[in-house]
Amino acid sequence: MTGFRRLDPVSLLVAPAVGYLGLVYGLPLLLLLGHSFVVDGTPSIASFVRFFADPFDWMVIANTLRIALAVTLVSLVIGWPTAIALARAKGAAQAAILVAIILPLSVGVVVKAFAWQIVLRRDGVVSQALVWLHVWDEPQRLLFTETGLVVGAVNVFVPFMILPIYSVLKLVDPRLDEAAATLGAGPFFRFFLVALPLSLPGIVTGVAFVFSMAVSMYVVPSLLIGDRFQTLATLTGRSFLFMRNPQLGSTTAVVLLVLAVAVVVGSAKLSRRFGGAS
Amino acid sequence: MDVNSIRPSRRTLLRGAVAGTALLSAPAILRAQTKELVVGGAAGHKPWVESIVVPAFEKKYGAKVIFEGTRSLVNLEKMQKNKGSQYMSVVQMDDPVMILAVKEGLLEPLTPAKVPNLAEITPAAIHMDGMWANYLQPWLGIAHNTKTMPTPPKSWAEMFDPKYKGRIVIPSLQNTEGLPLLFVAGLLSGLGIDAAQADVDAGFKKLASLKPNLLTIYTQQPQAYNLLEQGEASMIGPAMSSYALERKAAGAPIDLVAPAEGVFAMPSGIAVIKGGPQSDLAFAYVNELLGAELQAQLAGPTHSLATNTAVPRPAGLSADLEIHQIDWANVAAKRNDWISRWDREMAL
Amino acid sequence: MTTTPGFLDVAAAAKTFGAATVLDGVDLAVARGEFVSLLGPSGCGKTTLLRIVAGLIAPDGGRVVLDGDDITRRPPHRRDVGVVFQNYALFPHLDVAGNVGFGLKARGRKTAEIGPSVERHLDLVRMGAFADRPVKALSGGQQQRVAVARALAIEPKLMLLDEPFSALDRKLREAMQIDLKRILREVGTTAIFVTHDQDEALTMSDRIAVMHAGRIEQLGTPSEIYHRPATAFALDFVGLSTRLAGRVVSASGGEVVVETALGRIPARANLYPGSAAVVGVRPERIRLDAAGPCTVAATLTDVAFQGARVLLHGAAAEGDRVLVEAPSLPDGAGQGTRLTLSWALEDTLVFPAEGEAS
Repeated sequence: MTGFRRLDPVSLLVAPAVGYLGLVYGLPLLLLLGHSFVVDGTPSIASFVRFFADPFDWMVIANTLRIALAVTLVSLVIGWPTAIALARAKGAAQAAILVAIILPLSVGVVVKAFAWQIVLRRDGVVSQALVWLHVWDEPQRLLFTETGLVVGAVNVFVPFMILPIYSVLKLVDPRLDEAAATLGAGPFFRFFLVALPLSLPGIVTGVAFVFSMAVSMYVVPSLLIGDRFQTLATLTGRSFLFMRNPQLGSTTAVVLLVLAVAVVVGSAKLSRRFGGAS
Repeated sequence: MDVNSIRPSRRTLLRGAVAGTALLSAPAILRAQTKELVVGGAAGHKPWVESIVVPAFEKKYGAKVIFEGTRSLVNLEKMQKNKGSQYMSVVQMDDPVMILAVKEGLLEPLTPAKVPNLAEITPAAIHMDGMWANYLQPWLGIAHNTKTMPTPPKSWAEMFDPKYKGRIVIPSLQNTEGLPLLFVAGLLSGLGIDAAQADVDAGFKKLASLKPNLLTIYTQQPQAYNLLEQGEASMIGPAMSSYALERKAAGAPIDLVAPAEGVFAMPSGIAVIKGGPQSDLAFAYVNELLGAELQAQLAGPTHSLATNTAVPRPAGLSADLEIHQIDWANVAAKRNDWISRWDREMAL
Repeated sequence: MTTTPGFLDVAAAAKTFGAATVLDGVDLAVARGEFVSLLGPSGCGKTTLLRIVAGLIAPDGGRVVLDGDDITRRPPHRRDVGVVFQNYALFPHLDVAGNVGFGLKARGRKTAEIGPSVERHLDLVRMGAFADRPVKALSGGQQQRVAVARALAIEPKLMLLDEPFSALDRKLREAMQIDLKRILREVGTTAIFVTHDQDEALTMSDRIAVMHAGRIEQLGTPSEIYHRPATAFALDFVGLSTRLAGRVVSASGGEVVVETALGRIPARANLYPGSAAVVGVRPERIRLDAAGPCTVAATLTDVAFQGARVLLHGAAAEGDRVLVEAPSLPDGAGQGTRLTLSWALEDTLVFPAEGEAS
């Protein structure tokens, strides 16, 4: 009986999820990771040594991180104010914003990518608008550039920035802003010492979501920038799917996993320290 | 990619079906109780196989044909798993995958005795001493937008013309139809076709000069044609006949031309599975697909070249145009190295 | 209503939310150092008035003048008005000292100045030992003290308290009431206190503004409000009373006679004969004899023991109420006993019934 008592009933609630993830995610992941540490049947880190010895692979890592960071940053700049607006909106307006954010999630990434292809091409609206505004002298191509990729990827991922921030802000007592105001804090001070730290947990979650999705996105870059821009994800996919080279594929997958986890955990820690210090 | 994308229209299929049935309504050779023959192939082949090939074959041989349409690599896995107790008898796959199947010892060689029509097809369509043969070959030329580029390109060299800066789309080397671009580049730098395939160094050097012209390098064929049809791209090359001409037939403002240096034949292989049931029927099925009657019916709807020399070339390909065959064994051996180099040299 | 110019002057403050008039032209003058309660049921406009003074809501009309400055259009962070919110609104991401020091930090004070001030104000609310605690770890009463210290730390000209004790249990609430009064007296701050609890208002206030339907019905000392309620609403809302509805049957020389379910009751008032009226008597003013001059009879229905005294409930008509406070239950009395009740003429409170012009 005592043995049973030690088992927290709460842990039973997560058992299905743990079992499911362990079976269809954890186990294959371990097998995959194992692949990268075995060369010709013996344990070895040779595939990593080879990977990191190649300057091209460093460029791929740089591509991956640069794009993921840019997507995350732009998503944050767009998503944060949207989340604030969403949390403050009431009734029909709030429902309308929510629908506008969530409904596009039901449109597939491929469809979105094709839509962006129309918008970003030389005679597309973006190019024409920039010429009309005299930002550009003549129509230019945004398609198949890093800028175009970031623009398209932000469109796909920005709901995953907005929703976590919104769900945190929704729970923040609106009286806190009023309290700060009555204590003599102006709008600027209130933003940095109240609104920012209070939305920080949502921002950390949103950043973690968007960054880990952006760092591993596969379909979006393959449609919006093409084969000339390799990231760790596209390199991994190709190693498995076309080159039938699980050794290289699992190596890039491990590098990607480590980078993604490091950035997500690191940023969460940093922001917690920053949040605690203020 | 590759021939999975053959999508003949409904009308051409029906026309072919009626004619095919008429041609093959000869007296039955093997009439026994109804037997079943399972054929593995590409999902994209299903329409023409089921509307043209199957009715003709069933009528002639009194056997039932079940066509399982999927991807080449899936077919390979099915054969690997069922080794020793195969349920499929015939497989239709791309040549690069055929090479893997041969290495695994999954195929039964085709012999002139069992497949008399082998004698009628072009020798270049018979591979590895008869392990498999090509029945149809989509061909690779240059697709261009007929509105933005009303004068059709005459040479592969036009893709390198600086006036098409940012207007050229090419397939990735990971796509089967992308490989010949390396050989095109070799041809353009003065090599013969065999030398161009044996040593791709010159080809890579030539390709570097294409970079300013590139709009993108695609892995998804529909996306590439979308760009071409919208006019954002002027040319796609190499472009596959089965896809480009199908789009043209559907009314897209594009056309496919055969450049002067020649076109490339894409692989559509057929083979008999070692240890599969109904061996006689299996060889008979292969024989029919290599025969002039069926190939003549299929070439139109699939926009492909027939390998049977008795079937004339389709309109647009002159009799003296060179049709380059690709050494798939060579490709299989070197492809990963080429992709690796391609990544480095063609990157943005 | 006329008011003398004060430290805080609210004049003709009005606010509507959609079709609902929440404040209907309210005037309020508060003297320096005074503690004024806004007392009324929920929806009477008391919190809206408080928020207008704090600058958290802009009034549709009227003026707010504090210490000679018209602050009607001034944003809250430049008003020097401290607010203690109903749910305390402490910053969950800061510890106790961080909360108390927030206002000074926002004002750009130096750390060397903030520290001692935080310490002083925490000591004032007896929370000095809790400076480093996260606010989430505090009990309701402790959070409340921190909220008071936080508002006081900016040394505001005016403190506004919005039902600060409503979340506390009764014992703690009573202790806090006394404590808060002591603190405010020590600091000498002028305060406006919003509550719906009449006991709280009577206990703490220098003056009470009884609010009803967007208006101040009566502004006066607790004693005035209790003994001389200006309206039937004030009578009802503050304290217990015997309350009988009736009709004026005669009026002459500042005296009226009101016909009620328990008989005719004389009172001092100027009301038209025939008009509807409400008669009220405080329970402790009623004697259990026939000494008059106002005398009625009622049947005892219930006895509520209240420690030193008992509260007797008498039978009454629908909407009426008979309440008598006595030192003890009369000998032999029980449910059904017929009681004779009497009181002095000046203890009869009479008002025109609501909706009736006076």
